[in-house]
Amino acid sequence: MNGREYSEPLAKLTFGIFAGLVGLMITAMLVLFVKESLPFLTDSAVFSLFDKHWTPISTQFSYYGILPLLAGSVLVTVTALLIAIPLGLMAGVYLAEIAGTRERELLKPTIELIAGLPTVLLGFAGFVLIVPLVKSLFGLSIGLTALTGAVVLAFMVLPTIITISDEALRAIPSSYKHAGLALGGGRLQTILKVSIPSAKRGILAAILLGFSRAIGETVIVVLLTGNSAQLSLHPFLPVRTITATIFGEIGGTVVGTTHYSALFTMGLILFLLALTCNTIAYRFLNRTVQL
Amino acid sequence: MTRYEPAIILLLRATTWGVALLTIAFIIFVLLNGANALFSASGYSSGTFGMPTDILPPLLGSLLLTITTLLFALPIGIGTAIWLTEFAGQSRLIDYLRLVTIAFSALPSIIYGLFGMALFVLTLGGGISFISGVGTLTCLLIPTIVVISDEALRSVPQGYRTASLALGATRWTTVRTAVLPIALSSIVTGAILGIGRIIGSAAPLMLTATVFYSGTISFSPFNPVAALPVHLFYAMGASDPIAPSVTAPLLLVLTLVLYLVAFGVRRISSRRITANE
Amino acid sequence: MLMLVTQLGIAYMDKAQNVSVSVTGTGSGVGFSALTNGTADVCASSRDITESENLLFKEQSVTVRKIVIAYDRLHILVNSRNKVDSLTSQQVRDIFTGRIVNWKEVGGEDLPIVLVGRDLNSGTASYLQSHFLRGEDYSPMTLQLPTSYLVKRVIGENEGAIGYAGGNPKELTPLKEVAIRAVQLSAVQSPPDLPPDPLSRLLYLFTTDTQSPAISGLLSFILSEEGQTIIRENGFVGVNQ
Repeated sequence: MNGREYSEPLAKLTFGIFAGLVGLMITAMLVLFVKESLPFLTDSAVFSLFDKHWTPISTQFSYYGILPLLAGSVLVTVTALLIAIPLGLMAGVYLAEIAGTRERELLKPTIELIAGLPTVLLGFAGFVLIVPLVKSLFGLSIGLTALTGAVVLAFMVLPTIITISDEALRAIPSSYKHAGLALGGGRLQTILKVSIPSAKRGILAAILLGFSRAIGETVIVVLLTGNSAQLSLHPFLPVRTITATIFGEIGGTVVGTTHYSALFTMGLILFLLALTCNTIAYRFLNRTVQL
Repeated sequence: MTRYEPAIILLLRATTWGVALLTIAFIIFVLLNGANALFSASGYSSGTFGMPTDILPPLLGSLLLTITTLLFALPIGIGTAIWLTEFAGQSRLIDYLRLVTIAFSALPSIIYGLFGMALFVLTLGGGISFISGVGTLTCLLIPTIVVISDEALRSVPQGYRTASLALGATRWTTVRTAVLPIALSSIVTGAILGIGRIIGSAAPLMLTATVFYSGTISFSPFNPVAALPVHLFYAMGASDPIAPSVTAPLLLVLTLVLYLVAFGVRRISSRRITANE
Repeated sequence: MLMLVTQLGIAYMDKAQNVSVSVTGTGSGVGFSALTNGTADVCASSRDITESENLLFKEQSVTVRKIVIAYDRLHILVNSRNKVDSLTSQQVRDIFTGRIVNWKEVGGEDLPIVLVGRDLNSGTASYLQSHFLRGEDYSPMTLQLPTSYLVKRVIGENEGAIGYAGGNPKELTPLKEVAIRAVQLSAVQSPPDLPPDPLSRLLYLFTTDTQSPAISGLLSFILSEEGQTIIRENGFVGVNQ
């Protein structure tokens, strides 16, 4: 009898401690990023943030201009989304509204598999296949470009967009669709005028999550974009993303130095950006899909 | 509009099938490279001039890292989810906590890598080591485990709980005997997919646990380790001949196996649930 | 120096039997940081230690020991299909800072120049920068690759590429050659303040540990005939010659 009296509060305590640990970890992450960014943010070098050059190790003046890196990240991510959103939505619509059950059972897991692939594997295949392809297709002097990274990123992000828009569309009450059909619209008209607008939030969430995944990806861009820190929005030129910069340079910094802190500042920016996108996206999803 | 309908539907169908087939093509491409190696002589030899081409350390390293991470992440993650759904009650605060956790589960892995580096490698003085890697991967995996366990627990119909409580069982007994068994297969499926994420992560490990070459004679948690995805990454920047023919296919096979197991578990459990009802 | 150090480490482990060696990289800068942060015992560098790096050690009241392990010749590399055979140091400087952008400006074909370089941490990149670019920054269009292997590989696969690396110019790995070629540097108009042979350099090891037998064993091994043979096999010049 004694054991049973203790097991309940003990269980509650243990699980509560675990939950506390998780809360602690989350808080610690935010605190740490802010703490490590402070030396840079309070240094005069922070004014070079809006500079056009990222040259932290320079024999002249160290510029910590985030613009070329931001441009690189944005260029690669947006290009990837420009490829992935149309394709993803089309596939999402097909899976949710048109595909038969057996077809769906076959296609959906296959597409979901992409999300489970290690990104270094995708980067490797991209290096061997896409880099020469882009170079010869567009007659460029080198195949390591923003576009190359964007293409592989698009592939990586497709399952996110497809799966979530598929679920968002399926969550629409069938009465809406029946109403649309009853009013005389064809299948496609109903999809276009009824389903998609109703699933607007879910689809937006899918795009936000795709954006978050793409902008935070490190390995693929390091391997495929050539890593040159020039400020340009041209997809055929090599670029450098924020993630590639953090990853490539953090090893060469000493704790507490301006460079180290500047990299953490960029990490903090990425952190907050991804957190915001994710929070908004999942908020939307809570209201449309039973999460 | 209706005139173009068949054409548009065809386009949609082609796109969807295209993506699926592209995936299959990718898999075949990587595996073919591996098949090449199996039939040629070089395969798994220790390479020329003592180059680090042995696949065993990365393979063992990946497995050890994953298993140890699970040992920490599973209890903490599932326990937190149990607390959230069964003990913490309903409130806006709890909803916000859920939202935050799920937002954290989708954060870029390099954020966790930086965090792990600053915390385990530098502040706690663990250095580039196995334990720093486990710590980092655990932090990475926990939010995902919380989210999938939470989902799994919440999808258990409330009836099971009320029936058990009505019979006089305590909350914990209810969870243990009535709720968890039902949620278990979903939790397992999600955990397996989470494993897939950590087996494939290169960036966090490269900042906290791995080195280009490790010739450690005895395993120690304070020594660096090797890992498959990291090995592939380094192999591309250096002259490792077995990268395309061994490392990449092996990594892919591991991922596929995990995925198939998760798929199988999901299939079996859904059949069991429908059979029961 | 990644390959070199790895091979030296493996050979030393074979010899010493109870020492474990791990090697990581890449880039001389990473080595110095690891040494300062305490995550490494020895670092290899293709350039000398800088003032600021020295300062960081001084702040920790740690002495750093410098050992020269090899001599090396830095090469300016181009694709073997590139017609351009030689360049003046001024031209090299203008190319890498981005002032010259097409091969036709230096007597080659009408082909855009692709700058293939190393990332910020590379000692080789810093060396070239201080000895050729006189401290000017590289053109922001330079690709920043993590290892010399990748530099050579990319140059070999792209006709308009130019880059730099030490060691044996044609060798990608001990087994594989790549379609690249070292460019002759003509001494014409070589400015008086450049050293007589701007391309030759020293390769170093630095360590903060002066006590442990494992480290001193490693250092004497590398300076011994066995170690120096491995150094020569990698295309560098030993110190004992």
